This record gives sequence, structure tokens and C-alpha cells, in this order.
Amino acid sequence: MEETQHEKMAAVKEKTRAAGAEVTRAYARSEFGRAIIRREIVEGAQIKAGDHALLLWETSVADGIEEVVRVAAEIVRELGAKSIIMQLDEHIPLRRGTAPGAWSYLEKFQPDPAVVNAIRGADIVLDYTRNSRGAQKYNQVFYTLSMYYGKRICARRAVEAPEVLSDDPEAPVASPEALSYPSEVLRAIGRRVNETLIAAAEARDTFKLTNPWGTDLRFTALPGDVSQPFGGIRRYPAANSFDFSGDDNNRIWNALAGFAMTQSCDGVWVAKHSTLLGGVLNAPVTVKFKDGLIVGADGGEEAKKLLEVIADEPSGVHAILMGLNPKAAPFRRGEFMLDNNGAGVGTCHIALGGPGLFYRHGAWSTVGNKHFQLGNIPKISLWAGNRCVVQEGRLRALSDPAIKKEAERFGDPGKLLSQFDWPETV
Amino acid sequence: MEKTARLFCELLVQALEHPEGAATARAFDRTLQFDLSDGASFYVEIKNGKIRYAQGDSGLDWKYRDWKRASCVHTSSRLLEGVVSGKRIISDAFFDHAIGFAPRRLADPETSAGAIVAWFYTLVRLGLEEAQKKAWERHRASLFEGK
Repeated sequence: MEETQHEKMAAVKEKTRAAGAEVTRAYARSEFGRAIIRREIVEGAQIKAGDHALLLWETSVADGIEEVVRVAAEIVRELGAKSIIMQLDEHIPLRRGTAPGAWSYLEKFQPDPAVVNAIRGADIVLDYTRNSRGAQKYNQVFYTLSMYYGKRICARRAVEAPEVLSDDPEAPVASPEALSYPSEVLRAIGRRVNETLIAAAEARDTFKLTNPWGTDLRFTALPGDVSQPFGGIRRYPAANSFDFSGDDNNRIWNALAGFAMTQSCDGVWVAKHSTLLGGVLNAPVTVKFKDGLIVGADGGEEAKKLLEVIADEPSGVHAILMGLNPKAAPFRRGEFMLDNNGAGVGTCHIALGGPGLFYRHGAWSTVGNKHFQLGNIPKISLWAGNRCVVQEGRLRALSDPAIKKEAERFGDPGKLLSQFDWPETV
Repeated sequence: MEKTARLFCELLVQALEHPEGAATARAFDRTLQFDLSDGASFYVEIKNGKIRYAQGDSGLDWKYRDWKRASCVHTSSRLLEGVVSGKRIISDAFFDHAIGFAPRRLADPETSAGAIVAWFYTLVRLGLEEAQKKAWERHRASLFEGK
């Protein structure tokens, strides 16, 4: 019987997934990978001797994460903490047709009570399940565990950005210099970028974001809606237990800056990838924004599908975030990785929807309960009023004397602050 | 000051008597401006581990001029009544669009706004735990009054 197109695509996906799982395993087994996982646990999660650490993973997802969990558990024990491993069939489901990172109709999802009780009983949770990232913002139970009960939940930090891993198990890390980039330098970069964004927001300037695909947005934001302090990079040691609230802090190499919420946002965003539509799109989709809400989309069947999926509620801007790591190149063999995680300088995603009430456009309202991303797009330019923050994918702060001084503490600033070159084809 | 608002503020004050309360309150200095959809506004000032509250507007501009010192909490008397009576977990209400916070990301250049929200929720939780402990102590004592 002749193989259908669907079967061929499924076979390709399965082959890619299997190769990715082997790379993840090889990463965890490598000395370099183990060192990074250790830093995530020591500096990110900040486990101490005597802590009870709960490690979660899923059997239904054959992505090689079991090797990361094995290594993480060893490290936890080496640190004098107790590791409790909980193996689940599935933790937080992915809605059909979506990709990890999309939270569609999951805000009231009830996780297994046994898991919730285990989290309540643990000092710290290392959640390596597929869809754990974002749970503390987009699911009521996890939000309350983290924000009300103060549970320290570290979600899927180990190998979350595909752009830093390779597709070769013999050499699993594509960008070792991105993963081992000095966190203190990233903090300095994040602080400097935030200073520029905050000053513009305080002056009530308009921000302008463009990229070569056609994205062209103009927006305003409150100063306190500029993104996390220090690009979300960990403070080590933490100043207090509230440094762990939510899941946007305590990263060691994946620094992000931007905006949580816009007051106004108008223009278009051109996407070639969307978590809500299952990942890579067949054709670019041009999403139109007015007053911070999606008001239309062009680009064939997937544009129509996007509008159908969000038709039951307004879908508004929840975040606009760009990468700050100058070494996390988001391309492989000269091709831009449409599924990159946005860690690299010059990339940016826009996130739509998120449960809760928000102050936007001068009033309290919602932005829709379905959280998803359009992006990450390459080679952005970002202007904060008349100040250029990123120009055609190059971060201006990397030539800032204060950043250079900080970088001198960790090596040759010329090397540390030199950004990857964008391929002409991207 | 309206009864529910006062009860809620007193619940926060109770947190200071919890074994973890004093240290928790000292974590940040912040004014929380409460904007109620069904009642008069009030504000809570937490500074140097002390809690002070009053009806009305704090006079701080949480949107621009004073964003590093103040946050806005948009909610209702109805929700606060549910919280002080122990019927609602305050953080769960976020997912029912019954409470919201602004700004959303930064409390100041070094502190995330999320940390302030978690701090506020923690004070509510500690206040409830302390109030429940005292209620039980009073009830226990009353069982043997006059015996």
C-alpha cells in the first residue's frame, strides 16, 4: 500500500524526535551538560543540604529527559539533599494541535492530587515534564502553589532551548559558549537594557519594533511593565524566598528583556511559527493588532484557523520579549530555526493571552485565557522613543562601557561581547 | 473605612504575630493601593515591617511617578469578604478575574512585581493561619470556662 503524505510526515517527525531524544541523553551524559545541569540546580534552584527535592518527569514523552532526571538526582544527592523522583504518565496535557508553550483551556486544569500533595510536601520541585514551563502563570493550581504557598518550583530549565543543542549525539551542544556564558554579564546586559526601556516608558515614549519579514508594531508601556529585573537571570544567592515566585526568574543563561503588558499596541506581526497552531506554519501569517488586541490575520488556512481558535474571546498582548544572550545563535547550517526559543540577541516573540486581570489601555480588562506565542522572529530592530536598543538584530548594549567593565571580570570582553553574525539568508 | 476593608487590613496585621510574619513583612517596603469595583478605595502601607492602613487614595502614582513604591490591587469587597471568612483562597481568585495587580513585571529595577504579589499573598496566608490559631485557642479555653 502506498504511504500517504500524512504518514510520510509522521515518519519524519518521529525520526526527528528520536534524534532529539538521543541528543538530550548525550547532553546529560556529557561532562559539559552535567556541569550546566549542576549550575541550574545550585545557582538557579538554589538547593541546600537537607532539602527534600521532588523531581518530576513523564513516561509518555520519549524525549530523553529521563537521563537529565537521572543526572539531576545524582547532583541533588551530591549536594546533601534528598531526591524524590516521581514518574508520571502525563503531568500537564498539551491540547491537540498545539505545541509546548501554548496554554489553551488549561487555566483550570486540575493536576493529579497526589502530585499536588507531593509538591506541597517538598522543599523544592524540579519539574522536567514537557509542559511545565508556564504552569505557575497560566494554571490556577500551580499559581497558588507557587505564589500563595511559596513552593519553589523550577520548571524545565535544563535543555529548553533547541537552538543551543545540536542534532548530533556525538557533539550534542551546538553553542557551548551560550550555555556557559557568565550569568553576571547577562545580568549587567539585562540591567542596561531595562534602564533604556524604563526611561522611555517613564517619558511615555512610543516603542517601535520591526523585522525584515514585515513585523511593524508601535506600542506604549508602563515603566513597571518592562520585563523582569536583570533579564530574569538568577541572583545568587537569592535575596529572599520571593525571588523564586513564578517561573520567569532564576535562569542562568537564557536572558530575556521586553514588556509584560502594553498600554497601546498597533501594527502587524508576521509569524512563521505559532505554539497555538502546533509549531512551524506552512506559510507566513500576518497578524494585525489594534489597541493591543488581535483584530485580523492574513496568510491562508492557518490565518483562518488562528482566528477561529481565538474567536470566543478577545486575544491581547501578554508579553513582547527578546533574547539577550549574544552567543545563542538561532540558526543551524545557515537556516533560521523557526522553533528557536528566543534566547539569542536579535530574536523576539510576542505572547498573547493569559489568565487574570490586567491594567491595559487605561482600564482593567482581560487579554484572553489562551496563552500562546507568535515567533520567535529574527533580526529585529527595537526603538525606545529616539533610542535604538536593537538594530537589525544587533544589541546596542553590547558596546556599552559599563557592560564591558563587567565582562572584564570574566574574560576577554571583546570575545564575550561579540555577537554571532546573522547569515545573509535569514 | 468600610467594614470588609477594615477586616481585611486587620487580617494582614494578624500576620505580624505569626512566627514567620515579622520577617516576611520586612522583606519589602511597599504601598498597596486597593481599587475596589464595589466599594471605597483604601491603601495599605508596609514599611520596616510595620503595617498601616487607611481609607482613600495614598496619593502615590503607581502608574508613573511612584511606580517603584506602589502597586495597585484591583478587586472587590465581595472577594475580600470571601478571603477574610476563609471561603476563598485569594490567589485562586486571580483566575476568576476577581483580582488583578499592576504593574505586572517590575516593582523596582531590582525586584520583580511577581515577588510583591507572592509577598502580599503570603501575608494574607499567615494572617489567616494566625487568626485560625487564635480562634481555636479561644474556643479551647471557652470549653473549660467556669469548670
